[in-house]
Amino acid sequence: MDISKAPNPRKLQLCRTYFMTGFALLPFVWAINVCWFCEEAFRKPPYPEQAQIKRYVIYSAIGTLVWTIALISWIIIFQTNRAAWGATADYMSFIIPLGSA
Amino acid sequence: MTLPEFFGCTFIAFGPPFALFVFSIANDPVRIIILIAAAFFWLLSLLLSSLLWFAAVPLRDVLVFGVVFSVLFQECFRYIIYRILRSTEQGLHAVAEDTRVTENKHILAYVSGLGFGIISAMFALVNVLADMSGPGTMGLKGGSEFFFITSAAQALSIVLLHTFWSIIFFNAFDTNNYVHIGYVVGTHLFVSLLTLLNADGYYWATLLPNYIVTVLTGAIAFKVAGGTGRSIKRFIMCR
Amino acid sequence: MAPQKKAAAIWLLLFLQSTATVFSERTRDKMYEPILGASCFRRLNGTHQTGCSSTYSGSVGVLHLVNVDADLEFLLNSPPSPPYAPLIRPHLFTRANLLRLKEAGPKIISVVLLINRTDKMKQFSHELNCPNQYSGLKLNRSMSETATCDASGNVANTWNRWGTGLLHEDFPFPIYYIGEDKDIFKLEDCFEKFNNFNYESHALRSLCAVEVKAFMSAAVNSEVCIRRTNFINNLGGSRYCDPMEGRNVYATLYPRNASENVEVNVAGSEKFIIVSCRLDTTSMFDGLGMGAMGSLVGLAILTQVAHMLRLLLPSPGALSDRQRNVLFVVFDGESYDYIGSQRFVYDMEHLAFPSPSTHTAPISLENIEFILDIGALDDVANIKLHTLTSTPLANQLLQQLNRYAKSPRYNFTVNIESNVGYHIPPTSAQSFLRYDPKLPVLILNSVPSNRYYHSIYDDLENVEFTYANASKDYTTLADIGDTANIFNSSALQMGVRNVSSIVAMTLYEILSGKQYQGSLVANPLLADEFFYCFLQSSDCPLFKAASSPNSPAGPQQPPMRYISVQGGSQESSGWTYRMLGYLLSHPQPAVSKENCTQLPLFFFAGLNGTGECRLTTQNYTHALSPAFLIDNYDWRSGDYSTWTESTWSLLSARIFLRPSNVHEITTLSIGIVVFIISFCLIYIISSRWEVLFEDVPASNAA
Repeated sequence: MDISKAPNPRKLQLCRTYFMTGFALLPFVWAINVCWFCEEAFRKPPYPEQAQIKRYVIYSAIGTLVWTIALISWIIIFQTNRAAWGATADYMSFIIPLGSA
Repeated sequence: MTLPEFFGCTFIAFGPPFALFVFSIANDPVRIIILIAAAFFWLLSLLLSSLLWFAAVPLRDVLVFGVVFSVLFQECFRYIIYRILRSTEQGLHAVAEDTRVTENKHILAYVSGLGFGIISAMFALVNVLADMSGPGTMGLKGGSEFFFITSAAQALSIVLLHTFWSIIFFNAFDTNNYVHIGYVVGTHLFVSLLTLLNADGYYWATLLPNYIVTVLTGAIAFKVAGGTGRSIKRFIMCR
Repeated sequence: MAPQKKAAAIWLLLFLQSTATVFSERTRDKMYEPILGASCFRRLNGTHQTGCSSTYSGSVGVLHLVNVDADLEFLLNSPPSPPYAPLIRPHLFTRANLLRLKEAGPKIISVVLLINRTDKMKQFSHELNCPNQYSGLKLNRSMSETATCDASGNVANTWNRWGTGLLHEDFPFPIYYIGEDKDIFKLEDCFEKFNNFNYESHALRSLCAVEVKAFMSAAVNSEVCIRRTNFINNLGGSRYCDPMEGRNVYATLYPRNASENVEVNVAGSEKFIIVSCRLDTTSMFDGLGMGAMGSLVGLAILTQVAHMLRLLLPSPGALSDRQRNVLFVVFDGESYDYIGSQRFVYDMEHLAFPSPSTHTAPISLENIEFILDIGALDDVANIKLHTLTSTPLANQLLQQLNRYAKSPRYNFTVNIESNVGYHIPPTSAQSFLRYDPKLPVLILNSVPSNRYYHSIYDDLENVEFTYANASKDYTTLADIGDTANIFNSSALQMGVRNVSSIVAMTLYEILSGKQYQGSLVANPLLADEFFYCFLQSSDCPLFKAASSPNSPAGPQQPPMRYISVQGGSQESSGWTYRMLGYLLSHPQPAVSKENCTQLPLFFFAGLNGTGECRLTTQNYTHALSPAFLIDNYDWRSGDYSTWTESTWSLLSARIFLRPSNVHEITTLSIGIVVFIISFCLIYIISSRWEVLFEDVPASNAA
């Protein structure tokens, strides 16, 4: 759907729905929200709902950032320590590399 | 063949066709459809050739038989696609957003020729490229290290030749220029039969005449499509 | 004009080509040449991984023939175009050299090829100096190493003084053994043609290289790979490693009474003399290694002892004590921490031997009168009788053995001495002694002189075996002088005859209570047939006689005697089972073929292949280490064997030309240049194409 053709209250509603859905441990929804409504929130000429959209977009961006940092650090920690953790790491993995520790 | 060789050969063979596709085909849906249709017709000709090869059991080991008939089938299908395109011109004119396709008849010829060429080069090279996945190169049991790079160059020349041939061929049927038709079929046979020399490792003996024919054919196609020495001059001088 | 010329050229080409037929050939077939051989693979125990593995896609190295040590120095110190794959001859395949190659790392040495050029080889054994060092008898429980061999002391006193221990090393590169001359020539040719000149320019030209694919799935140790295999998240069900397992074969001299109520009659009054030896052998390479001297001689002697006792004492009526019986046991997997005997003792301890399915009463360790274990008899003329302590039984047995060994009547020329103490050979008996050092265990073993113990070269040449192929009846006993014209007195067959006769006569005396007075001795023709079957071809008279009449002939190769894993061939235990069954069975002429289908009755082909029904006593027991049965077993405890074998998908090798970096980079750069130039050119043309094609021809104007 073309977001620019939707009426303003509909935009706000969409943005809020996406923001709320993100709380279900779905950081990608936040990321999409940021991409999708970035232009609406910051570039478009002002309209009444814009302030709220802007707020949702900023909160979504913060959420995405936190998730990204958390995921990246976990991946680094896990990959560097997987061999050392032994059985514990095996129980956390679905795919265990062949032929190495 | 190793990964660098694989990419090197792929770039050589399919780099120029890719550039042609990007700049002259990709932005017009009608051209893409025609390109794919042409490729499909080439595949049909391959199917017929292989059926013939399969049926003629005693001649299976005689490559030259297959080559000659394959060339003839390809030219037949070039004619079929010519007839189809000419008969659908009105319809194309109605649906095309970019009317140049129908206004300049050489564009149709060029697009279908490129489709022929790309699929033909793919079939020529993909078997070779598929065997490149290992760590080795040619040369243990005869053959030369340059086998892959010559194969790629050969494939490139096939793409270009098919494009030029189509332009000449379409125009020749439009103008009843039988010498040009003969030239197209003749050079196609000549180039295809030349590749048989590769079996004995005469890579330069095939590649050099091949490119001479390519340049010659390119020149004829250029002329047919409306280019002149004067226009080249103007093009270079940027006027 | 032009078309005419072209037509002429085409017809010329047509003519040329039609004279020669062209064979379709894949590009790959022109690039690669397969090399046949055997690969080293990965085995794991409770704490380590041993053996070798290639990288996932296969290890590639440039061939380099190593003739002298200096060639190795060249590769290690100044390799011009690493990684390399040295072609090593057996005499240079030493521990020192291999460890240096290992140290250099897979960036320098990526593959090692061992070629079958044995002219300078003096010894070749990859087993440890103390085989089964950590699983033998222990002095006290706190020590981890066996008390019966000291690896840190004088090597000459160990049980395998020529051992390099490479079988227990972990290598970062695959090791591939090439046995056939044809393949060795291919490698040497390729090396001479492409590599063996102008070493400075190695980096600039294409070199002959080898790729070995031997990727192993398992890693670290048995605990890790078993855990990963049984892991609930292992959705693909991929196996990382399999426990080594096989089958022990046992047979009794007399059939035991079937008892329906097996639970009650546990100890009973039955008395067993156990005569045992080992079945298996091992080597570094998959599918190779016959263990001729290392373990086959012992099996031959056990077979002959069983056969001779069966003929001398056809029924229990001849015994002084009718409750006595002889239990012949052949243990599998003894090369890997006594898998077979550990399990046997474990089963006896838990009253699980024989299995309830045999409907016979379990035999416990109390039922054992004594155990006579036949170890490695490298020198069949000089044998030692090992015991832990000096016992009356041992003294009596030694005296009896020597009476027959030294008897001028038989002229056996075998010297048997006693050896009391902890210096006990690494044989199955150690599992019994480890369970209880007080068990009456006697071991026949000679001073080790096998320079090829547990290696691919412990073959028929190592035991100097030549098949006499006498085509005579080998199932009867022979008179002393009967076979003198067939066998030289120093032949292997005669040596085996001597030892087995002595042992069988001694056991006869113990069982019947009277001295053996006869002139018949074991038949060297049986030993001849035995060794032919196990060393040269499974398609042999003895195996044929021991099969059912219509069964297909065995393969032309000797049976593989490595224990392997579940689903492995288990050829050797199968043949041993049938052979012992045949030689120990009693003919039942009254039973017809139709009624002879249910064990213990079995219809054998027999000596002349016509078929005969016989009452058999043989059976299998499972040779799988108890470590895999016990829940939450502590893998590091060292109580039981924990050996597993990694799984793999492919073992193969091929040679080809490896392109030089220069060639690769040139090709890639040409490609990129063509790509970029064509992009620029076509962009310019397409942006200004109206300029180029200004003159629209007449045909288009229409």
